[in-house]
Amino acid sequence: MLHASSLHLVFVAVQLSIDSVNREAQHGRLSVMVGNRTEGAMGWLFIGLGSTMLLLATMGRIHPRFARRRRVLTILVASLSLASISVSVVVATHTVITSSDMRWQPSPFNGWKVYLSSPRHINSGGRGECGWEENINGRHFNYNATHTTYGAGGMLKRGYITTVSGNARDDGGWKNVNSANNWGANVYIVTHTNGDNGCPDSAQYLLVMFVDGNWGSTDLRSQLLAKMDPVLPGGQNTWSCIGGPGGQLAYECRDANAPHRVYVEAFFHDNQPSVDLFQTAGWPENNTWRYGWAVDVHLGYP
Amino acid sequence: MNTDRPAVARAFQVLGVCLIVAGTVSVGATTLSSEAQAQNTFPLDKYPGFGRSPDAVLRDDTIAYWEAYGRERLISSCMGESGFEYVPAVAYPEEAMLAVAEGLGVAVSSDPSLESPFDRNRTYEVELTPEEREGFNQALFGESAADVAEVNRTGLLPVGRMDFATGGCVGRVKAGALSVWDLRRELDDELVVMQRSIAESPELAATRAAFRECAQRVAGIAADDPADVDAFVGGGGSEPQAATVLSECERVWAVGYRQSQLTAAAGLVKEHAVAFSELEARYSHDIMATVRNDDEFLAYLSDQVRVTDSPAEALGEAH
Repeated sequence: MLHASSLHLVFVAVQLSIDSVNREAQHGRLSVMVGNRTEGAMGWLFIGLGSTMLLLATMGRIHPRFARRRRVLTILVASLSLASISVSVVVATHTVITSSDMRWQPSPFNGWKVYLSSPRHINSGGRGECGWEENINGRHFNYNATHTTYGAGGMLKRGYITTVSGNARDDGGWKNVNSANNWGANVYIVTHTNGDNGCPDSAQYLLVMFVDGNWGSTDLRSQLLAKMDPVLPGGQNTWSCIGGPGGQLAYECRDANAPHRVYVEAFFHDNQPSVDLFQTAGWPENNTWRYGWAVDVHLGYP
Repeated sequence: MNTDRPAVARAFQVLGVCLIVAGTVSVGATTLSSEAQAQNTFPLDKYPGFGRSPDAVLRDDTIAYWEAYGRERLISSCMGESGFEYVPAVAYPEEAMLAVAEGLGVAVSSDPSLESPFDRNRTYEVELTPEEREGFNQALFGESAADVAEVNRTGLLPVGRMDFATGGCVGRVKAGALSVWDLRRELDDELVVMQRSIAESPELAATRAAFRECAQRVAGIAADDPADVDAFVGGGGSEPQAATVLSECERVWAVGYRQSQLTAAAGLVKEHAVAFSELEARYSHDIMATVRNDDEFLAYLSDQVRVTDSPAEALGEAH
């Protein structure tokens, strides 16, 4: 009886995980990390592994050669299958590399459109990252800030139509700006991760850059610093992204015409503890809701 | 026969109960539907660029996408005058573009060899000789190919060059372009002031009191509004308690808030009557008919639906 229950459990788990993976794939979120690269089809490998083991377990039931050790084999296989399936489900919710902007429209819509711009570095993955590559970090952060239901929730739960930009390795930041401008974004938040000397490094702070003389930008900056700093490692920094240190001019700050725009470097991707925190299961869901909180306070809870 | 009579009576009784239940459900559904409809309309909906109901959002996206295509068409024509190829390439969130296409009844292009216009432009530029590539970037942005590549790589403009890439065909077209979002952006500061004043308005006093009572009753939290719930969670308060307040009391807040918002929005239109009239005048012709009759635009849209509908892209395997 024990082995039969285990087999049934494995079968149900496989079904559920396949459904989950399919759903994620349809939404363009299926992927798995291999080193610091993201490969979309790898999630299927784990499902394949689980299914193969399930087949072996079934053979244990029907083939006399396996019959003697049937129970032990079944329990072993069931455990391994469940472990691999768990891995596949976890990775299936991870973020992909894609050139596509994805937009979600809640109902009711509160009248404000938010564009969350992800990094599109052509050399993402080779920028000294300790963990996930920078383009993944940014989009993963943005995706969660949009969808999380923790507390009062992310952007969607608060009524903002939200677009999360593509994160292709194409140096295509201008495409993000043009997309947001054409679409009529009212709020434009760039979210990248910072780098210093490459992994491992000790620098860690939250940086929010703003557009000088633009209240929509400076106040949103203050709100984001106030809400995000308590949950991000290190201290906080802020300076203008149009004429900041060394006269830096970020074109996303100059060219995005959303009145409320800021440029965030959330944490240092070459700082191992910071990376570990971000990659902790549940951290993005339980903390990125603060983006929505900051935007709501800034705009007066529309 | 005698034994059948009670059975028939019972059947009629059951039928009667079913009809009453169905009637009640129907009336309830109608009421809910009207309520939902009322919740889904907004006083600024009729002004292009200010849409909030799903239909008005789709209208605004349609106009915006069409206008963006118009700008790209001008850039393409401008580049052609300089002797270069450039195909219109509209950057726009995918789902919004697909909704526009569906709303216009655009069929998916059947051409299997299509590629994204962004890829086409990139491929074209890569295949030019260095001298031609320099000319291409000068014509498109008024900048050198090396500078454009460096800005793309770093995300930073050259120090002291706030005017970088404001020339060329792109700069010329953008400088003269009108957009459905112009007035919305122009009035942005006032919209924020409006939002903030609503939250602080005395009219919301009763709503606050009701929310406070609800929050206290369902979760024992002292919260006057959703902002207090955010602060409660942000301060380390119990997330499940906050979730209970939001699910049980959100409606209390939404109803009161909406009424104040409607009043404020009407006030905004009154205060900027001239600007809103001009906006209406600009789009007073049947803009949607104009869009529907723009065959070149519809063909472009059809191609984009085709290019977007790529399983490899959806799986993130295209890169």
